[in-house]
Amino acid sequence: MKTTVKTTITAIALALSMVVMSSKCGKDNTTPVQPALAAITVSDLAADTIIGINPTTMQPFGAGKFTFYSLERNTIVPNTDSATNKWDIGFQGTLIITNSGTSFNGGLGGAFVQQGLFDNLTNITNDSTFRIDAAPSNYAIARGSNRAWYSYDAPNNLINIIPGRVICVRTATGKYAKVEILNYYKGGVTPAATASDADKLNKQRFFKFRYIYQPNGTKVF
Amino acid sequence: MKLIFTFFLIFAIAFGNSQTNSTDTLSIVVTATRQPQQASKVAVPYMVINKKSIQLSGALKLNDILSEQTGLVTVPNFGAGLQMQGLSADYTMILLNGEPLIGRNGGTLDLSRVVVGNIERIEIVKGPFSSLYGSEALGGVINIITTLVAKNSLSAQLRYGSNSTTNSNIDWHKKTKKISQQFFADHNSTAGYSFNANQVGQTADPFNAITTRYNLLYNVSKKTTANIGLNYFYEIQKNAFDAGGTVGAVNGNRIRTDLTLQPTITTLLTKATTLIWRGYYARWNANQNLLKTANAQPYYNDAFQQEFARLENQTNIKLNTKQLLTLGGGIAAEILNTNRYAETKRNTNGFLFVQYVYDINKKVNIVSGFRYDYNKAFKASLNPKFAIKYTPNKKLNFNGSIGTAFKAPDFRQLYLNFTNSVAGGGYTVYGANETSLSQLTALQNLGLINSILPQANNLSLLKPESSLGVNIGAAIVPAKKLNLTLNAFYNALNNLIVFEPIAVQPNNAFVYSYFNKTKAFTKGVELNINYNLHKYLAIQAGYQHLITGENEIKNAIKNQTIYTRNADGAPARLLKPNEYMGLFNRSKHHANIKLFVPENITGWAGSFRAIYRSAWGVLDRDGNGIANNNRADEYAKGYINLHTTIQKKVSNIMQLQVGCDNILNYKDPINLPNIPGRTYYISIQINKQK
Repeated sequence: MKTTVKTTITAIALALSMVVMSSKCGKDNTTPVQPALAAITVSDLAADTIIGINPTTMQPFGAGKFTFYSLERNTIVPNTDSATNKWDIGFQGTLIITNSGTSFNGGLGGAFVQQGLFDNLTNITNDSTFRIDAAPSNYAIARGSNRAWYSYDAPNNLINIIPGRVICVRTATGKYAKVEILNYYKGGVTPAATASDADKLNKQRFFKFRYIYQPNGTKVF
Repeated sequence: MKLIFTFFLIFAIAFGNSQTNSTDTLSIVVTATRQPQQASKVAVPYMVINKKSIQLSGALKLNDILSEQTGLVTVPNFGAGLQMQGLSADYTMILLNGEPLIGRNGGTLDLSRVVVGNIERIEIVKGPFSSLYGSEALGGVINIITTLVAKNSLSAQLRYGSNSTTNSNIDWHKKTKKISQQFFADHNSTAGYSFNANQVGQTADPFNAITTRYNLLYNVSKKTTANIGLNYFYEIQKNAFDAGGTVGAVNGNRIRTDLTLQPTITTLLTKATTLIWRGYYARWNANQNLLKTANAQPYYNDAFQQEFARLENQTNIKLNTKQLLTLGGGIAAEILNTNRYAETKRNTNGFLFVQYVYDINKKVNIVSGFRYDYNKAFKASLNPKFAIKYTPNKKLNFNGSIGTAFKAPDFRQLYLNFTNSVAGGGYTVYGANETSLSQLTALQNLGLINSILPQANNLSLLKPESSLGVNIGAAIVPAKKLNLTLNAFYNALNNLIVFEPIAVQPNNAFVYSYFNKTKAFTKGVELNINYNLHKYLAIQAGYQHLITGENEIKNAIKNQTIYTRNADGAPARLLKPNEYMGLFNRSKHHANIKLFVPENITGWAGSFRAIYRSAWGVLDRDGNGIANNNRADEYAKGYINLHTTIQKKVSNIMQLQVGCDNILNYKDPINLPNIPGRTYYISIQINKQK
């Protein structure tokens, strides 16, 4: 399967927005503006796309492989490196794993899901608890509809991304990142509820997400 | 809303003290108290649709006539369901001659299976009525009344219209001193229609349906009358559609039958005491059989049979000229036979009710009562109600009522045992009576369950969904032949049933079951104006303003924890409070204007009706679980439907009618598959009075 990863880098002027918010004080703030961390958007990241339908169970299936991603290096990590700390998160359908626990016990990774807006999350509080993967039912990023980042629309057979969910990720090497899943379908657009089953199957499992990786080891973005 | 209240107050002050004749002192309403009651005493919001306006509207099916009434919205979901005071079809009760129709699918009682050919009148009472009728009467009660044999008559109708829709019926009434009989037979068929010619199958499938209704009233003695009603409905619908995937086209048919038997014996025990025994048997069958078109192999077979039997007694005791006490009680049994569930399901239900009607004085009358429903499959329910009417003069009256109502958990919620292997990685759903914590633990020990989630600890006998409803209204006669009614309502719904994950299977699929959880509300104002402008022109106008929502979501929006995205793949943002569209399928505005021209000396008559419904939420697309109006893909657009009929009496016994429905040819194939484009019809009606 050919995978194309379109990466766009958008500068998010968080510091700027803070200045705007504090400008109502009417005073000139002389504190130097910190260089803003860049938010990176990853589009159409194929995550075990559907390759067939089981004729007896009618259940669609993929090749059963994860797509591993390094947030630090902004790149896909080959599956041969699955048992290393070269990757931070892995995607397979609606399952997102972290480099931790049962996914790779040598990793320092972990995650938890926070309700709120991506831009507003400027500081992961120190007492927040990162979970580690415990397959099959206790992944750091919980599986299942309405649990972590997606809700499943059963009548229309579509995966919708819950807005206002930020995944706080501890990377394989113990650094921090925040991730917002944006879409689950090719091109970043969910098929219409009335789209054909074939369309819904062929276009799904293509992730669009954005993230900010903090290289300095702090939880401040 | 404030504006309407001001409007109403002005009327109340301006016209409050003058005296003229009230318009409806002679009419009788039976549904509000389960016995004949003068309309002027009815203390709850009510509406009566008579045979004349059904005929003038050219209505064929029950949904045709009901969807033209203020605040009644037909929602296509497993058939034409009725929404009332913002409560969906699951929460409204439909009676045929006082007994409930059964055979719901997905909570909907399909109104399009009821032809209106011999309906004498339809009574609609709004607000909670479980205090009299038991389960399902949350939004209100619709009572279809066919049994009124005034004189001997024989009538027939032949009708043909667009989509090869035909209807033919005969209605025979015979009255003697001892025996009154009526017989009605109706045949209805259509070729259906399609919005997409390239699709396998049609949007609306072709069907053939037969309805027969027979009613016999026998005056056994001066004190005793016996009545028996027998109704039978048979429909065969041809189905074809593309099942998708590797299956492709499928075809077959669906057969639905409905048989009801309603014996009643009424005895005047003493001058003041009337004893009514009512028996009721109903059997509903819905079978669908589909084959793969390519190889004629079975694709889907669904067999569903519901039987319902009830015996009840109602005793009316006139304590004096002003006070009437009603005592009632009975037992009901229900049997469910379907290949959807593991075995035959049975439930028995016992109930008793008390009602006290008191005309305190000429100006004030009250109705109060309660009903207790007990059964084995879910928790018992006690529902009280109190209503009061104040009539300071003939031009003005006020009414207020408060009561509770309940809806029994439906079959899915109790008995479902379903595994879906296709959708999103697969899942299993158990009805609340099909699973328990100990069962899950046993499955876990066998290795069939991987882990049990905390929510499983809350598994228990379901409580019925319940509501508290308040209605406050007024009726004003501001000028001669002008009648204005106003009603404000609030329904607080509690213990709404939702399904939540309880366990994880070894293949990572979730197991779900049902829980009492959600709270919701519907509130609004309804205004109706009746103006008999002229002997030959009556104008009716109505408007309902409706606000609905889930309490938890309202709070979450207030606490700024609900978000949206303006487009797929866009960053999330906070949802603004005014973007929440409330419960799905609810329109904020619902309005109608109807002109009726009753038959005049030249024999011409007709009607023109306009119905407006504003936008309503249909779907969650941005994953926040609700419909919000910042996304055009989450709601259906509002629309106006115009209908007209023209008719002419061509001889003493014959009348011709032509009609056009949906003059503007409004179509919304996705959200309103039940509304074909513009349709025409012509009918011949023969009516012979003997």
